[in-house]
Amino acid sequence: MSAYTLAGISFLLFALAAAGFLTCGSLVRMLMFLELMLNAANVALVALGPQPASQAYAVMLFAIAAAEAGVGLALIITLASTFRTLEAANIKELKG
Amino acid sequence: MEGNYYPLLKWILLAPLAGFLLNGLLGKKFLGERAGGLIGSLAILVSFIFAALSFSDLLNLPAENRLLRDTLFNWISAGTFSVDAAFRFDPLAAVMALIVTGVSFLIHVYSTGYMKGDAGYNRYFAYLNLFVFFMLALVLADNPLVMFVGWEGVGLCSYLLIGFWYEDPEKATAGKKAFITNRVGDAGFLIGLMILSGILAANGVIAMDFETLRANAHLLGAYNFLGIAAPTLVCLLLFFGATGKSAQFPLYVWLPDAMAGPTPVSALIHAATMVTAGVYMLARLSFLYELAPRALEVVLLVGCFTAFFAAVIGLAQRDIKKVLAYSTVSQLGYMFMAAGAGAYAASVFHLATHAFFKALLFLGAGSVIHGMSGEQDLLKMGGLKKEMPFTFLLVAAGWLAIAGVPGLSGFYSKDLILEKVFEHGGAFVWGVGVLTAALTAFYTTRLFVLAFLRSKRGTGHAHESPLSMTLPMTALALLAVGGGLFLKDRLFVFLDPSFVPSHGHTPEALRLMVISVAAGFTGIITAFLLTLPGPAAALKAALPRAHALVYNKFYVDEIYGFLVLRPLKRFSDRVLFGLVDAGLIDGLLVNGTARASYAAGRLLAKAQNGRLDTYALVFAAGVALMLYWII
Repeated sequence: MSAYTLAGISFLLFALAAAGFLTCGSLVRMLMFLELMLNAANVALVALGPQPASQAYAVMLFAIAAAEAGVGLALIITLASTFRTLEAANIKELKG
Repeated sequence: MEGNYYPLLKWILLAPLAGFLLNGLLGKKFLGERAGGLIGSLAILVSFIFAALSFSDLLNLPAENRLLRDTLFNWISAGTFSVDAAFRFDPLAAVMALIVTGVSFLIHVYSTGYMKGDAGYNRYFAYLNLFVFFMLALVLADNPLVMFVGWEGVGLCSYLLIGFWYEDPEKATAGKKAFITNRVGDAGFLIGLMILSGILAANGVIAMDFETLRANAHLLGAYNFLGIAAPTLVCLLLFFGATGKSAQFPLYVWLPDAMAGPTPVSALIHAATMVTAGVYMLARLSFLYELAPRALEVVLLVGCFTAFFAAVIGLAQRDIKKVLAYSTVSQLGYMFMAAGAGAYAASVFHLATHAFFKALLFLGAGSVIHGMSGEQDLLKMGGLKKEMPFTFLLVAAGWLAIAGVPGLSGFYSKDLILEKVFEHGGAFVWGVGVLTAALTAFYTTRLFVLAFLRSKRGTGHAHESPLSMTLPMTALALLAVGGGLFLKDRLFVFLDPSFVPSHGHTPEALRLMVISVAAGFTGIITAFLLTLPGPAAALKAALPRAHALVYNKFYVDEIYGFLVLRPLKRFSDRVLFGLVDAGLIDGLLVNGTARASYAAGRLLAKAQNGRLDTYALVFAAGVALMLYWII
């Protein structure tokens, strides 16, 4: 696969994930769409070519994605136990 | 010894300043009354001694080269503009410095007796010393800017001293009136100064000392403002400043009210020092006024009018100090008449003799007030001759001197002024001057007769004043009697080395003199007649309108109140307070800032709706924008 195709896949994946993030209401799904966006970034890194630096970045991104998923899930569990819901629309504590 | 360093000069100034600091900082707690009065008087005595030493050094110089200078430090240095704190001691400054320190010293000694037991005794002497310091700075200044510092300083001190008994709102108001009226004049002075230095700087003349000004004054001739030649404009503006300080029409109104201060203060401010500042300034800048004959005409006419106007008001006043106050205004008018006629030496001469006899009269009035425990109404006095024999004799000397009795000091100076005015100002101005001389003789005689002669009208018992008060008065009385004869020719030769004392008068001058002396005696005799109870009442009944008009000072204060103060107050209330202060500053700027922040907060809080998807949308839009930017 050429770099262009890979970049195209990356953009497509990111756009879909962003659209899903914006439209879905559940926190868990939003987190998953976030992971997808990260993966889109990973694909973009791969598209840069087989340099050591980009590959190292890709591996680092896996680790960051894993950590982020852990933190995100922990937050969601806390929110769920506090608000008894996972719908973002029902949690309005951030209102100014 | 011509040079830029004459060591004694600064001590003339520093002595009163030291006195001020000692009395002002240590005050009642550490010094007490005795030491405070002693330090205050000694400071002026030291200053007088240094002035006298400088004076003798000045006399030892060749006549055409009499100038001692001292530059203390560079005061202002901004770009090409530079002013030194420089002082000069030339014949004019010497005469003024000696009068100021000499008369002030006597008044200080007098004050130690007059103010005894006052709660603000040390504060009083601190102010008095500060006043003398500023007056000396004004007199000794070598450039108009240092002069202006002294000019403002005496204004400030007059405010402090006139409102010395500030617990009394009326007296505090009098102090404010003096200060504010003076500020009006000062504005003119300052603008005149700016125009002067601006024009000179445009021609590359940067130094501002009087020597440089004199050499370059002709540069002003080439300029015009609004159709007025620059020298005339500058001179008129400076003269406007002088009308404030020297209490000339239209800014004289503060002086009669200034009588609210302690009587020695009146003697100090209104006889010897502050009010003479304007006359001194005219004499100092005479080279400028020589270039502006139109301005001199204005000076002459204003002086003439003020002299007459104030003398008329003085005719009917009941307060002993008010009579003297209007007399001062009137006599200052004489000095300006002389200056306006180009006879600066004559005006300085009258300034000197006036300092003697008016200080004497004020101190005499103070002695009477002191003896009668605060009574100031002439109609409640009378017959004090027996109870206060010393004061009676001393005031008699002052009375005869101011009335222009031949041989006494007032006669010489007044006669000389009238002669000069006749030569340069014309017969009409001279006639008004002679009439004023008659009026002067009238009101001073009236004061004297009502206070000391005839039978006693008041009920209270009067007592003679202590020696600390009568001794200084005696010194002043000697000066008032003999000063004119002594100074007559010496002063003129000293002030102007090219002056040749004339022996004997021309027949014309003699005739003028006879007329003015006759006018003086007419005034005295009329006053003796009209102060008899019968004629006085008859006159008052015959001319009730005129009496009310004169007694109420031609309603000038009321007119000013109506024409100037009321619109100004209204303007201040409506525009400055209502619109600018309350509306613009408080409303728009102070509260407006708070209100704007609050409204902005309200507006932005709407964005924080707490919905995660909205945030995400905004976030995504932001990212999209950034991408658009980058790509």
